[in-house]
Amino acid sequence: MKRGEVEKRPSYRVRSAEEASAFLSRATFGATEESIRELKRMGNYRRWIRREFKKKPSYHLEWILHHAKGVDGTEDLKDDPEGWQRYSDALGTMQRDAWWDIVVHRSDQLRQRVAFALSEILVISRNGPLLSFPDARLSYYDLLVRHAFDNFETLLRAVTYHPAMGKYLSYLGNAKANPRSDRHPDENYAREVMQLFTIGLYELNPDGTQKLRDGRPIPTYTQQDIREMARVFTGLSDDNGEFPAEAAFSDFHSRTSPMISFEEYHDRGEKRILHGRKIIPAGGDTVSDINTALHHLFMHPNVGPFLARRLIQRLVTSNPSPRYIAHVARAFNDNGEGVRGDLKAVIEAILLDEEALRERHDPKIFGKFREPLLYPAHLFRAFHAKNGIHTLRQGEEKVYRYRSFNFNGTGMMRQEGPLEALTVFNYFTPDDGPYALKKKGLVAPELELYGKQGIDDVIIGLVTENSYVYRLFHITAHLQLQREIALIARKRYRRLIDRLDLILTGSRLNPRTKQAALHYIKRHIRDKQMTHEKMARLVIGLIMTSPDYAFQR
Amino acid sequence: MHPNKKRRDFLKQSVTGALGVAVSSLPSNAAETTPRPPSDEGYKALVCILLEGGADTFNMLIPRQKKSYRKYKQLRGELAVARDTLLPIDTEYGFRGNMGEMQRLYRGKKLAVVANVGTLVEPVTPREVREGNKRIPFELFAHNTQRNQWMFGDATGNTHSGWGARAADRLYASSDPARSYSTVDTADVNTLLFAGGRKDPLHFTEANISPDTMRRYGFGPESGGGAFGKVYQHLYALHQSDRNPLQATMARQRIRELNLPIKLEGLFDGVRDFDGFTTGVHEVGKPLGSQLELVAQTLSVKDRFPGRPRRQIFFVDHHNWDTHDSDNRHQAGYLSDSLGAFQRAMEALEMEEEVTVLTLSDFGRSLTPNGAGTDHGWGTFAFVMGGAVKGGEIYGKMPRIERNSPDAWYDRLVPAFAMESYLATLLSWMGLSEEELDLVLPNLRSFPTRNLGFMRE
Repeated sequence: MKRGEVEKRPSYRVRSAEEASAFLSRATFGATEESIRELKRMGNYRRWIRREFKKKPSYHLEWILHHAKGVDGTEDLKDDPEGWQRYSDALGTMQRDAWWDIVVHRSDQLRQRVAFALSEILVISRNGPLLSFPDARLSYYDLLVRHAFDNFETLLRAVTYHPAMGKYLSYLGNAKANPRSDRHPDENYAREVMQLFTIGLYELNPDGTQKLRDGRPIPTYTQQDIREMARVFTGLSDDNGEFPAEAAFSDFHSRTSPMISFEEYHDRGEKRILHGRKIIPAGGDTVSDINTALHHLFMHPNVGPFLARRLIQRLVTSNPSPRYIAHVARAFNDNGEGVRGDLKAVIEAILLDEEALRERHDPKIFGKFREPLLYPAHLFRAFHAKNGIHTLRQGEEKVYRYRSFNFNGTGMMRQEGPLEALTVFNYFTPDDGPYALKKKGLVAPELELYGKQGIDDVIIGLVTENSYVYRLFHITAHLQLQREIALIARKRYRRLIDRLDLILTGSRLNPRTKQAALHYIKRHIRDKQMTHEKMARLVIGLIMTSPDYAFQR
Repeated sequence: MHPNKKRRDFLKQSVTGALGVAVSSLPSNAAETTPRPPSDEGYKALVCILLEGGADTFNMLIPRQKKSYRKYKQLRGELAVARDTLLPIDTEYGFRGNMGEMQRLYRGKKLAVVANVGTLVEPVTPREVREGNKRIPFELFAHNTQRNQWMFGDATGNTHSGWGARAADRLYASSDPARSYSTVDTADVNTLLFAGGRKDPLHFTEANISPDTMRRYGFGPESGGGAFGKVYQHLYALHQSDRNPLQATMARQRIRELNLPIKLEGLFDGVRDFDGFTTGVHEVGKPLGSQLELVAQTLSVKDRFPGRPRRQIFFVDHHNWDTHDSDNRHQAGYLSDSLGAFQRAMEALEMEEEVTVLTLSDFGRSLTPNGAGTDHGWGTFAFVMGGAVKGGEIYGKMPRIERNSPDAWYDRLVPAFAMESYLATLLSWMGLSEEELDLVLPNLRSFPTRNLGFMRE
């Protein structure tokens, strides 16, 4: 704010349908005609957010257990958790089905969108040691859904004790050092919980910029701290009554319930962390030591700006201003009632900041590239894709039946899927971007996922219900395009484009893009073999594969 | 057709194919400028294999003498590889049992080992590290920072472009059409190794070997065909000059991708297949074998590239080396088998003298185990392979696999050689002068060794 300017009470009034649509692209899995209308009628962004906070969460594991019905004499999935191989394979397949159905159809949109964002910060993955344990992954995803509007410290604890994280970052079954051998406690979680989940590598100012000493960034911890922290995360194993568990991860319960402590394997000595400044006194047990360590991390001044930048990037813009980060970090530090770590306050600050709502700051760089997964999600939502009954086969046997798009997502392009990153560093890091942008001090993390085998292929295949793609993959995601087809039949081409522009981009299409689309329709609508329906599909495809759509503003 | 095969083919289709785009703006192949004459006229290539995640090389090459093995066994505990399974390369060391190909290559003098190399800012001993008076790389032991330092060829934090890009910029004038074909990336994602060069790398997958249109899958005319594709391309062309630098950058990137199949049109026609490249069941991301086969295929048609590049640098990215909770048995086997297959491919092409393979990794690993695996370390063994390598040797003194030995800081090896010395040895073979080496590796002069001597000159 400039000197002399009076701080006005911010207005959360919904000023136009365009603005509402843009807001929904950040807060949901994509705007629809109905959701825009609803938000506009409600008239206030904060009211919308607060209503989302109250909605009942949709859980993914529950979805699967509820929907998968046995066929040919097999029991329903929920009745057969010990038919291990069949169960595990089925869950592995259905994980994506559940995800697509929930993000497209369920109403707890903000919660699901935030949970997805969190899944790219507090990363576990199908790739790696969790490959054959879909129940653990699903249970972990549900944890993110459950705590998406909770306190960050609660979330961090839940994550730390979850066996999926324990297995993924290898501290499940991590024992204290054995004085008779040279084994040391596993450092994996000790490092990543600091570097990637809470404080990052360098000390930050409240606005997210790095603190400098002698012109150099200041590390938040040393290798000595890692060694000490590794001793904290000893003594946990899954809840199967054994350490370190020949039998680890052997049943549904142990894979989905919080890990428990085995005190004889926990290092009870004193630990000094964070440059030795925080002391965890000797004599603590596993849980008290871990909770104390997590609390010290949670209280670290870096967490606010660290988390703010990551969540802003996932939802709103790749290059937030320091002022924007500081605003969100303040909300993290104090939700207005003296509570630190309230994710509701953080989410409100992110979505309601004037930089997001009113695009103040530098409009030239405001926004972010959409993640590949968000394209089909929006397509299915905006055009009310109908799913079909799908029969899951295992070999020749028909096993379970449930409603599904049967769309493997962009994962089939080896690109992006829920919980499918190649490493704990996610599909991209907050600092990623092509060299040309980095030189300008800008980042564009999602561009790591753009390129050949791109999302454009998938979108064209889906929107045109391309026979090859649909048949090969047995996709059942039938778009409902009556409105669009009717507009074409009535030759209301401009109206059609305006409508798509509003729903898909918040009316951010470049006028030249609109012109090109209009020109395309006029020129080809009378082509041989062209139909109104086909044209509707092509125009949607043209807009959704345009660079205007790729960049969410 | 095998369903998986079919699916793979589908996955290979490029955007261009999908949209039936006929790209008109061909790069000019006509401008024949003479490349900066390399020190000799022969062809040379480096193939960099990134062992992403930090390779536990200490469980790949293992001491086999009774006494030294006992120390290794005591230190590594459950993780130790059984002595009687080791494949000897000399009286002192052996590869682990599933690395028969690398044993064969070493004994055939095609493979060399570089002992204890890593990121350094200045020469430093473990004692000096402990005392803290010497400069060491920032954020040791973190995956991203350490991998980046290897890709940048500089651990001071002052360099942000890749050494591969800088080397290629020295080897070619930017007007040389061959420059655009001199850096090649076969990985799933862009690599920092080639970031910041005057030309972008050829970043490609098998898709570009036989640019197929999606027509045969129904993506072609029926989905709008050429006309649709033209509008699509037009929109990206327009946005190349968008005032939003993010959009402009993305649009330029897309246009380059759209042009790539055209740029490669015909170059890969009739390209040969090679035997022996396999896919491991435990591999994550793009398999090493398929990436190396692609390199071999590219090498087989190298003379068709515009400007006939005489120097090329390839980047291959192999995932899943971050073995906190497991042994690296599978990974080591894939590496060994893939190197064997690649070397045979080079022999078949009669290019073994001209192509050198090197390994890079985020870092070495802890000498001691954490139970089932190991943690992030620092110094590591590196492997170099090819006909121009003075193989069958270990370069540098093998470190003691002991905690707090004169080679280790606690249980992490302190590198005896800087990565700069390692890379300079290879880039010198590629034809860079001493002066150029200092430009490409800005911190090289901080280290006493400019050439480790493992390449024939």
